[in-house]
Amino acid sequence: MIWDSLDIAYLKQQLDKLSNINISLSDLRDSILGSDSRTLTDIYNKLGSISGSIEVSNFPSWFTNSTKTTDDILSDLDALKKALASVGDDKLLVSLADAIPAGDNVIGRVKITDGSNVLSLAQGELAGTSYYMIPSAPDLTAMFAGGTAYTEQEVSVSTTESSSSFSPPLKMTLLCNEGDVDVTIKLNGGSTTKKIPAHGCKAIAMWKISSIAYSVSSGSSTLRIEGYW
Amino acid sequence: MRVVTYYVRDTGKTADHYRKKVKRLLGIECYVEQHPGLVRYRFLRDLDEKELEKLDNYMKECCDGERA
Repeated sequence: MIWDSLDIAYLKQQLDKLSNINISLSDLRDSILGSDSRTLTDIYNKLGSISGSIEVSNFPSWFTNSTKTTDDILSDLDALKKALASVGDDKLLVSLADAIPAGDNVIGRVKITDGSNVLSLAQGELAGTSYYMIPSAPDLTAMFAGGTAYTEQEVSVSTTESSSSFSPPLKMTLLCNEGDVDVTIKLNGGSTTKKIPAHGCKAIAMWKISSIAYSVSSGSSTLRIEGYW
Repeated sequence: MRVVTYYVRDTGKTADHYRKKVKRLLGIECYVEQHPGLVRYRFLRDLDEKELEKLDNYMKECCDGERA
């Protein structure tokens, strides 16, 4: 049995950045007042002076062309609306999410499902592929604290395949890819490959793991291996 | 549980190999994990000085192992 999930530590790290857009009302007020303590009257007077300088002659000739009608403007606005609508939702999301984490952003694509399937409480997209995920990976430390032997080890992953082995085999294993590139793994000496997307995790239960081979197609990554015997 | 870690030269030996060897050497059951450049034993009881020395010698011979 294998579960996929986001690396919760990474997710929390990115969500913590949301606090950067938090601003108190007093900060906002101070920003308006400025160092010279502008009053609302100052702002009103400034606006008055701006409106006084707006003259029809200052507008482009297109705007004052007597042959142009409001229908022309409406038509152009419609065209603009259609152009905006053709921009994919994902592009808009990425633009917004770029302010939060660096690189590829997948946070905005995780949604909580209706719970009709207990194993798919959250649905999300990792590296372009849609997955059903449990909202958080099992906390092996908490589950088995003080009981059976528990291990946690970070290993470097390069384009050359390396491996870790365990004896006796691990009864439950959690693999978290802490890097920015996908990691390919092979379990128990098999040739079938499985992928752990960047900042994704794979929890393996009811399948004893005696060896894990890992590599990346380019660059490097770090794989966190947790498990208990 | 006594945890003993060694930095080793990668020889292609698996955790299973190390566990069987050490069980024969010391007669103690243990959990073993092997990663690139590292082997870690988790013994079910503390090792005495003699047992630890035997283990050090074996790891030195088989894979240039240095206890961490």
